[in-house]
Amino acid sequence: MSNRTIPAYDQTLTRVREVLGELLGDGVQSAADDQPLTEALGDRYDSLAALECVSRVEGAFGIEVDFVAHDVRYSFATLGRIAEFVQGELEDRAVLENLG
Amino acid sequence: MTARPVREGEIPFATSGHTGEPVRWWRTREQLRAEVELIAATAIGEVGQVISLAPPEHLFGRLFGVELPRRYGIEVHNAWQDPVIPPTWRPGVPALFVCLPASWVVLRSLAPRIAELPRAVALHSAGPTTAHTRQLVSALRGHPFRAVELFGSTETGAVASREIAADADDQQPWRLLPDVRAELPDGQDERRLTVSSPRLARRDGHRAPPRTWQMGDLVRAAGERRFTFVGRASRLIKVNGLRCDLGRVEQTVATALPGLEAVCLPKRDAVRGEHYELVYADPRGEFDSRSLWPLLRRALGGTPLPRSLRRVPRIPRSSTGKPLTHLLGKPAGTAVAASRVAATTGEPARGGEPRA
Repeated sequence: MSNRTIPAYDQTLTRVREVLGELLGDGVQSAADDQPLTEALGDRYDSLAALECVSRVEGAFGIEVDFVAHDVRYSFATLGRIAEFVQGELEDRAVLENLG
Repeated sequence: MTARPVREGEIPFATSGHTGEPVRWWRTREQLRAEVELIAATAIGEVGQVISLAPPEHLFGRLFGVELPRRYGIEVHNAWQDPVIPPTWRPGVPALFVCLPASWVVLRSLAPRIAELPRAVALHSAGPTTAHTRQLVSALRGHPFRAVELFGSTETGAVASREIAADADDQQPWRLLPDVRAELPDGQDERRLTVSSPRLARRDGHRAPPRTWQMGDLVRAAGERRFTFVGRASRLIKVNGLRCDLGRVEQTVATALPGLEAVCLPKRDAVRGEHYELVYADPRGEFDSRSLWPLLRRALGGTPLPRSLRRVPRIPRSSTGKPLTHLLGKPAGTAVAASRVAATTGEPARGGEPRA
């Protein structure tokens, strides 16, 4: 039985903002949950920055993004989607741990 | 000064020179072919397809994403246009992956598919390997997969190579390629690597390539025709294959944004291999990070923008005015987060050593 506590969505979103704010600066704090990061951050959020975000999020939440199974371009387009994606991964992991 | 090929069919490759002005280096088709054949014989072996994740306007991408497949008549799958999209290839055909530092994040997800190939080689250049590199190499241990790293520059072409091990570190020795001559330092001495080979490029305005070329890399001897990389003699870094002279960035910012004091700190980067942080003091209170980004973008043109901006009350300097970069470490607020990232990615939470 897994003892891992899954944070609430809002907590996950706050943590996503913290983690990506360290990388991308103030623009992350002022971006709306559903605002495209390409709009909030302009050229700063290119493909390589998205890969960097993937790497940071993986490290912060202990998950691994599968570029084949996941549509990273979609999932990492807004802060809200990143938080949803992370939440889904944490829930899946908890289910697998419970099965194990 | 001529900016035209001296020989028919010479091909230009641009670098940012030490003065900051772009410099063109010309290579003959014979030199390109010689390098492809040399690396194919010593590092790659027989492959039936190339998956290129390196843009062809750079020497590395041109050599192994264009010239090698042309030389051996094999198919190419170009996957360098969008680094977020996983590349595809033909199953059952031995493959060469042409990789930049950022390529490994995505390739790691493809380990099961790479494992199905009868043989695969990943060739890496243009910056340090990352934690993702080692994760993939580790995941494919026991499969017919090899990862090889090239050491070189636009001016010299490849000068040395080494296998990438799952537990590789910067101290793993490099072996000079067979057609390269180099004077390596004695004992534990460190010296800038000076090389000669038939593959040195010709600089714009010169009639011929130089007889020798001093690289910006400090090395230490590690046995017969082997060396270890110690660090950079200059402030040149490579951001996913793009050269970036940190001194030039500081000069450009000082010229374009008078009143702003800026210092660039090199950083190891989990995706791009190397990157930099711009630390700035704004005594007149004219800027904030939001207004700075577009100004920096305009000032720096094609030079990679910093990975992050950090404002400090002042830039500490020595009595001669030199910035005391060791006093510009990570801000207290991010130290915990940085060490957490380092612990989970395996990347050092410090400025790393650039590499050609």
